[in-house]
Amino acid sequence: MFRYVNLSFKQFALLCVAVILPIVSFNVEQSKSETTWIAEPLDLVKQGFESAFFVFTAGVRDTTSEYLNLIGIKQLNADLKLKNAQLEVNQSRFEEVLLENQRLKKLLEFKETNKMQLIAAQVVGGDLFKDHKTITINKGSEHGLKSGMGVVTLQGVIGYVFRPERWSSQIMLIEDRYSVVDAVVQRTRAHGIVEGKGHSGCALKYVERSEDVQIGDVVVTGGLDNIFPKGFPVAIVRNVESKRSTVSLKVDLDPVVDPAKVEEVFVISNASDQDVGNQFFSGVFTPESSTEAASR
Amino acid sequence: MRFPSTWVLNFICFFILFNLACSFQTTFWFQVFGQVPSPFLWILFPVYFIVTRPGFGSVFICYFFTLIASRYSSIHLGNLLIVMSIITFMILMLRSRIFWSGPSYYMLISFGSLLAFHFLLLAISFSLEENHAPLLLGDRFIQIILTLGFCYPSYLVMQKIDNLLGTQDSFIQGLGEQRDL
Repeated sequence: MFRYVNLSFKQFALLCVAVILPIVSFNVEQSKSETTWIAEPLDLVKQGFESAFFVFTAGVRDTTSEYLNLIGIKQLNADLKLKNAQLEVNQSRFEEVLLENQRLKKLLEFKETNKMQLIAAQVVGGDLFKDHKTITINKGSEHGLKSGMGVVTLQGVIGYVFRPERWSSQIMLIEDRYSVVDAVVQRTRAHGIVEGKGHSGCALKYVERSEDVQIGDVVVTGGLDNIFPKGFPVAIVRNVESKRSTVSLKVDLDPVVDPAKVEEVFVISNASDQDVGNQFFSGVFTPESSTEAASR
Repeated sequence: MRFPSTWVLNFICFFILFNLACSFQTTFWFQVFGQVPSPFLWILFPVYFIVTRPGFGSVFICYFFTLIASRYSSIHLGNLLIVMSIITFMILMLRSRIFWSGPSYYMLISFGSLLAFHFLLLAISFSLEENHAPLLLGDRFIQIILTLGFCYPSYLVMQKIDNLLGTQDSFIQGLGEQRDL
């Protein structure tokens, strides 16, 4: 065999190691946290590069918005319009600061009116692969984050801490196919597990066929394990199917939080067994009522 | 076998470039373009190493790059290593039979690697996972097209680094022109 493929013993040994290494590390089961000694220096380098890009990108966006504002001004009377453009630029900056201020005020009020211990964080990045739905935030183990901690916004649950690094963390969104969140249907208290389906939302699994679940029902957190507070909105039922061949209902969900629009999040370091109950809404959920609840 | 100091410098340069490419995908592209699929810049580096470096060294460097890439995602390291190992050995076998130097060969191999990567990842996921990866054909097609646009400039940059450090000649002289496994 060696003569046929023209390999020395050393080359054969190296070939065996090269083939065995990925097979040994292959494991379809997802473990929660995989930071090992070999990965920690790589994580530090990664955090540095991501932080640098985030700062650079913020500068690029500010400069671009200033340029776009000034383009229309150049066509009008030079002096007055230039003054007007400067005033408009300043105003847009102030409006942006005002909106940001209002947003941060709501976040602060949310933080102060709850018994939960919350850590505020900013979203700085996404996942390298489109198959997976994760985001990166700018808080890590140095700020008290641990693997498995719930992550929420004002509107509801967004995910949980998947991989905390020293100064940043990766958050697994509830839409990710490896994500699982304990939940109940708010109206009927039917219990199930919210599992991500990738880009087509989530599904509520292991709901008995005898349970009453309807389109438009709100799914909230069950409060088990004290990861999320009880009663926190997770998703809305989009479709319900009951088949005789299965013992569970097939329930499709739409998450209440659109991760594409999220800029700030809260990490729940201690849910304090809080039950938010009907704090967000008391009736049937509609997107408008969610917006009104968030703006109050 | 002696390791010239330029090899270490070369490795450090590519390590920095690779992290820049991954951060560009996850942070800059995400902040500016949001959910638009980003170009698959990270895969251009292991492909370049496999095409231009001798056999076994390039395999382990490819694995090291894969380890770094796995830190930027929630994808399991084992899944990614399996896919990259198959792609690595496929390219090495192809290189031992058909090879010509220059950017055109690199771009063709990159295109093939991109197609193979997506196909293999989906195949492994569909065959082994209950909750398999979404098809996302449109997103994957856009990713491949965008990545091909970055192929030639990335080849020029990587070749420039090799030429500046004089590593390309020392690889060939030190280890011999190894086309076979």
